[in-house]
Amino acid sequence: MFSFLKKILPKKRFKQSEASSSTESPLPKDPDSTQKNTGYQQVFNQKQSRRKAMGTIFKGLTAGTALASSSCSPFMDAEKSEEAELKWDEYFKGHYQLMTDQEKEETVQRLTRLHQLKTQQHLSMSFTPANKGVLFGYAFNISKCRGYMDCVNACVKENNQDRKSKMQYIKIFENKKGSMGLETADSNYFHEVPAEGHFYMGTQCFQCENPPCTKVCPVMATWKEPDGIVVIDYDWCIGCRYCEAACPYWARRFNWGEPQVPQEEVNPNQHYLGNRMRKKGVMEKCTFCIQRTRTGKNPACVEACPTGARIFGNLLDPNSEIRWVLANKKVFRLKEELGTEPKFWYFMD
Amino acid sequence: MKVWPVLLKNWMENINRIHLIKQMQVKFLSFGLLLVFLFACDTQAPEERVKHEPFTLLIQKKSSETPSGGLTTEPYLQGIQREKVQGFPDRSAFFLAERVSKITHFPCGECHTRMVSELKELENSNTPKAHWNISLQHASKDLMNCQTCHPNSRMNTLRSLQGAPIEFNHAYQLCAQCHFQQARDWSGGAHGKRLGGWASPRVIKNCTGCHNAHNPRLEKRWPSRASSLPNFTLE
Repeated sequence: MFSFLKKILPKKRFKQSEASSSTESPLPKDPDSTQKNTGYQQVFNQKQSRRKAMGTIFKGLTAGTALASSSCSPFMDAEKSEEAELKWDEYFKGHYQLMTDQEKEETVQRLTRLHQLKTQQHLSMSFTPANKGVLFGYAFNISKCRGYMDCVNACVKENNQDRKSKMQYIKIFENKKGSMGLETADSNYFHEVPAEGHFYMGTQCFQCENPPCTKVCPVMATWKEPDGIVVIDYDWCIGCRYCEAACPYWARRFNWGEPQVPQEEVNPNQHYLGNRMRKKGVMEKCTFCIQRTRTGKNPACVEACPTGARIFGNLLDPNSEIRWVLANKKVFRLKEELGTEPKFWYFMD
Repeated sequence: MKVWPVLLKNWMENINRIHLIKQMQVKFLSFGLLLVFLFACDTQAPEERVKHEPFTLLIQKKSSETPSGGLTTEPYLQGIQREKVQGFPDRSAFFLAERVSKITHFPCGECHTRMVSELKELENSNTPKAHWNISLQHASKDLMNCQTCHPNSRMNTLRSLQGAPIEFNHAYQLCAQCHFQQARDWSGGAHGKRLGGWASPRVIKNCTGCHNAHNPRLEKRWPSRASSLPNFTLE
């Protein structure tokens, strides 16, 4: 490639440049060698992605301004500068699906440290990947549900949902017996339940096998995991709400403000893709309690249901309860004709 | 005057040429169309076609050999003693939470040394009273009374309709005599409540874990909260 340079440049000069390029490795083999790398070479002679390069440049800038401000004010807070640095690293991190396990570990550590700096509370955040041979499925018994809404309370608590806007993933519809459509159903009932001549039907994210919401995301901030759970990276989401519009089941929620959870009520058992604290202007949704289900537990709604109307399990396990329900009960799904293949079946006794 | 025949000849030749060109064009077009038809056939990739297969069939095909993905519910079942459920050979082994050790006064024979009818006669005396508040709200009185399930002779066990003893831990066998449909659903997983989590082992609640055997109907009550979402309709 440089053959034409050889012709143009004087021989001596070219040999010099060859020698300098051979010492490009950050550590020279001989420590006493006079041809040590300069700091400039160490930083700028490395292969860098655009994102990483931007990060380094901006980090340098902030370090410079921080240095300048600290030299002016003698009371520069060490925690504040640490927080600023962590926030910069967070801002310039890569896409979650492209991260190595070490990078995931690092971002989880940064997030827990940031939360600790902010609230003095320690979290145990995980990034447990999907288990092999697992595909989660859900069944809902409409003859058993009595509309107590214990599931909603458990869900809000478990998933650190915004208390200010009273966000909730689950919605329970009160239907008149004999009517099947949800057009006439009431989801804002508040009276003794079950009401005479009515049945109850809960909706939440159905974790479609062919999800329309992930296709419309312009930044790929939402995707379907190998165990069938549709997740969102809250740090990658730009809040355009396309997914909310694309979902035919109204399963996604938007944070119009900074989510507020009283500190003593924050659930410290968190997952990066699940119930970790959201921020203003991002989408969120039910993740089948990813932080619980990937360790073998049931989702909070299933555990809280006092009637046993909610059934959860592995669709790929021929002996699981969910498979028995699919094989032995008359099941149906909402808006099946759309081809979204929800992994959430309704059935009756 | 000889110009006209020459012009006419040229004109005719021109027409012939145009005709030829047109013929060529038609041949070319038809050949092109043939090519288009040949290559516009269904070239959809086989993986794409699989998508249209019913999802439930796909699940059956993909069924895995590691049913719980290497997970277990053992850590969440601490403090729960379990008892293997008997009498459902078509289901793989499952368990229920043991109950006998949690009954406050057991064995029952320690108090029930006499017939219940005799004990009832002592009602006005100062002898200790137990479960006096039980009133049977289960089926009609013609069909069931206390002795249907609690035999006078052996108070430490329950009794089947044929008189065979049934342990309290296996009370589901007693219920299943009439509620066979519910028992079938319960053994499969469509009825009842799972303890711990979704992974194996499967531990579930006994019938009496949710239903009061003497008054099995679940009570009406107020919902634990009101919905805060707008009353939209799913259409």
